[in-house]
Amino acid sequence: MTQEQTPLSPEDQQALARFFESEPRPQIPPAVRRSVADAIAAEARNRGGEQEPRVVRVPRTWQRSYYVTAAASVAAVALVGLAVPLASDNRTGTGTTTAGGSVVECPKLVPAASGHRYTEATMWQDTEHMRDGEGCAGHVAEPDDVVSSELSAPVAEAGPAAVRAVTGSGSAVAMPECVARLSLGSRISGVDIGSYSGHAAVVITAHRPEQVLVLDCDSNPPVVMAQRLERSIE
Amino acid sequence: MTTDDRSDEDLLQAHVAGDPEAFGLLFGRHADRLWAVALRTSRDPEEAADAVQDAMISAFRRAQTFRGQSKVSTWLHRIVVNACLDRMRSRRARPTVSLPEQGVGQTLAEPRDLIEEHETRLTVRSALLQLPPEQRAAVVLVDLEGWTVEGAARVLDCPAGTVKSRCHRGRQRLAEILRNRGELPNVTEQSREPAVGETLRGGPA
Repeated sequence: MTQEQTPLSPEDQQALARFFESEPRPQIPPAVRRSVADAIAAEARNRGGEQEPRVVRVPRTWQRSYYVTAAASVAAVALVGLAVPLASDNRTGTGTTTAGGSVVECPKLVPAASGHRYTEATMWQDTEHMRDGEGCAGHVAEPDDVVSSELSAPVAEAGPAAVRAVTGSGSAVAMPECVARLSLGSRISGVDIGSYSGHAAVVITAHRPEQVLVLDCDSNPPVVMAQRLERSIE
Repeated sequence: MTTDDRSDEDLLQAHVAGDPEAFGLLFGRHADRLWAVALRTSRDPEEAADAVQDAMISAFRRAQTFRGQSKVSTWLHRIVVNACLDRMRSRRARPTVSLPEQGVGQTLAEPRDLIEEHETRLTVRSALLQLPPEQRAAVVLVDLEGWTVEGAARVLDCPAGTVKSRCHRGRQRLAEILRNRGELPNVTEQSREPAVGETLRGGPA
């Protein structure tokens, strides 16, 4: 680091000054401002959240019970409004699984009914279910393989295709309105079945910040039961 | 955005005391400047957005550690710059795929879309990107954001002499880069600014 510090010539100094002047100061894009503000608000909510119900996320593993995998699949279907005829499929029924050593009830999860405002279907591919020809496209996303791209506005504002995510392999998924509240550019790291205050829920985790949405999939469209930081999830 | 007459220091104290709105107000006040530093220091808007958000969450959580030895704005800038530098140092290849725009949602791109401006900014940014991160940060703060050397030293947490040295080397390198590209502005044109130096622009202390 003994570089000689030769003074710049006056001409170079003037030229550089104009060079720097040529770039106007950028203003923070509204979406980024909103995203950061959302993150701060989530932090503020989380700060006093000790009294809130616990959120339990079922570990993501291919070895978990048939019912849970199926329930997660159906939940994903419900989540994205994929109109798959599951009425006669007993996997829409109640199941159980373990979460942190305790048994979590998984009440009936139903596919999305007509009238949803989101239209894109899941295209997560190569799931066991699809290979089994069960017609169920639900799949628990692997960490980091889903990157949300347009999660900045409620569907009602931006239209049914506003909320999309894309995987490295090009698969895409549309999320319902509630997920649209995730910050712009959040990386969705997982979609799990879990429980919140004893109520079955789909738990969507995302990064930047470590947000989580807990959705009540008994309601249609899904309702956000909680939104907090991932570190508060068990 | 709600206006608030409280000083930055008062807002930070209110945040520490439990005011749920105070930190958001603080961010709103400095968002543009923090963004500008992050964007010019980082590789791209996505990186800058990540850095700003990471930094604000970090500042939110560490607010009680602020000792008042600098201005709150300096402290915030320091956290943002550190977040940018940390991200640049630790950045690993992590391919992500962006979907094409369909006229919905808000993109990270800046609103101005005039081709000429865009090209100019690309020139400035691409030249800056060829500087080592620490030199780039110093040049961004002093020459583009108008911080004094002393103020930049507080942001970068290093001696003022180090900032001067980094700025000098950065300018030399920039001049060399631009000259090699034939993009150094014509020096015979009317100059609107004084020579590049520690007082190139008046800025926050």
